[in-house]
Amino acid sequence: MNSPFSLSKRLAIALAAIALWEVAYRVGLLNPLIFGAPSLIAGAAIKDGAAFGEALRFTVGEILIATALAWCCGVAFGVLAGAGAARSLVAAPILSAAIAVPLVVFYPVAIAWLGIGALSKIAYAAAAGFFPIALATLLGIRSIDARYSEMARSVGASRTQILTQVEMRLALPAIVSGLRIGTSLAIISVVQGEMLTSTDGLGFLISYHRALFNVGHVYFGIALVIVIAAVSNIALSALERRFGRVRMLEQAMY
Amino acid sequence: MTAAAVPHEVIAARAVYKSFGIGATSFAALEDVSLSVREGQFISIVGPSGCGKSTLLQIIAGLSTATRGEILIDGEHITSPRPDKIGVVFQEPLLLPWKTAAENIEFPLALRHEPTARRRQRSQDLLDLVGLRESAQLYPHQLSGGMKQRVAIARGLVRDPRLLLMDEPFAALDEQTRTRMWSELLQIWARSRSTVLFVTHSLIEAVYLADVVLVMATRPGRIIERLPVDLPRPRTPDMVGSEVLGQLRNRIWHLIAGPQP
Repeated sequence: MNSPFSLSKRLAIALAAIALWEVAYRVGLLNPLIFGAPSLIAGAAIKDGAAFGEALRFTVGEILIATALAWCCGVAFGVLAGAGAARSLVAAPILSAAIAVPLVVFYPVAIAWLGIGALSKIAYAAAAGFFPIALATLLGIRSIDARYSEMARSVGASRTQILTQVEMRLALPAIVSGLRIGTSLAIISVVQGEMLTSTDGLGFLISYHRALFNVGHVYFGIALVIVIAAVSNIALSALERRFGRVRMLEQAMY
Repeated sequence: MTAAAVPHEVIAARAVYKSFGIGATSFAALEDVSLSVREGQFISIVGPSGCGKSTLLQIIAGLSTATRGEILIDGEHITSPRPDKIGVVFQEPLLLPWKTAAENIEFPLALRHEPTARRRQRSQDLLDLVGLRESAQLYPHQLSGGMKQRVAIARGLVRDPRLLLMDEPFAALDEQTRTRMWSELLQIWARSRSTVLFVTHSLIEAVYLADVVLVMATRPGRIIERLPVDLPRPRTPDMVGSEVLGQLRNRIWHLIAGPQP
């Protein structure tokens, strides 16, 4: 991440924006019921920080499990479906059609089957993350240059070795971009699920305090969700930088 | 004639047929191709595009199977890749971009879980052989086209095969690099004592490198002539302009192009 501003400058800009926000609230320019204010958020953090910390841990746990499921099932499905020409012709349109479906319509079904607790959110979010990861992996495996596989065959690689040591590795940039989309969808879906029907987690607290017009609490919850998204984004960018290199090297091949 | 009676025959192809497609749309890529290559020979196969020369190489490499006929390498039937006996070099280097030059050369050994020390030793020896000792730790994108193809040749030789199959390996290189690679390849061939079957569409390349040039014709793909090359070894770049080479080149050209008006 190359920014024209140094870290201290960026920090200063952020602090200035927060100060401006607070001033605007104090002089009555902003309706606090809609826009909140930094001091209200800080008040909520002090008053109910422990409850929010608990909810944060709960939500992060759901996200981690859902993401792990989506990654493993998505990559495994994509590789298995992508390894055969006929199989991929069947699977690819089904996966892209599934991505177009707003999965939220199935959320009440997940609640009915798995209850109001964490399980329904995990299943719903894992499903949301699964489809783009599976499709990206499948397309990544299908689009690699078959001559590499032939070379590997000529030097004695088994079918499994070709798949794991050559094809999956060549498809890695595509797989990583699928992981990026899938992880974002899993995070969104967990919070969304909590906001719709739940008894715990950040999404639940946001909904709950919104109903009570606790504006500071609502914004504090929103800020914590943004922190989760930011941390995930940093981790995924690092992953992309690490394996995006392969893509760059590939282009320099010939 | 059995393979056992001719101990020095590295490749024996007998009445190889290869057809693609079925019914009315099928066509014969190879028809009744037979050839014999003795140990240590450098054989070029040259022919027009679509004559099946690459198909023949694929079948000998065990990457493709003949519709009819048989291929014997060292007297053994070949139906699948045999990296212990056959090394293959393709038109593109096909180096794995996340591996260094040394790791790419070691790739066939890594697949067999050979100990690291042995692998290192082997890749060092081969890097010396192809003149890339200094480039062991470089990645493919840091190597020139000629260097990449030399790494690919080293990878083809890493299991010490009896036979090196080369499918237009220098076609993607510029002329000067290609000329240099000819000398390099002949040196590597002399030092590694392997047998080489070299497919190319360049007539001069075919003659300059080989002991024998096999000329193929198209529709159906078949061998129409076997021409010994009477040039002394070691070959030098000056020979490219020599009369012997020029006459052979013209003869091949007339075989391929048909009688000239």
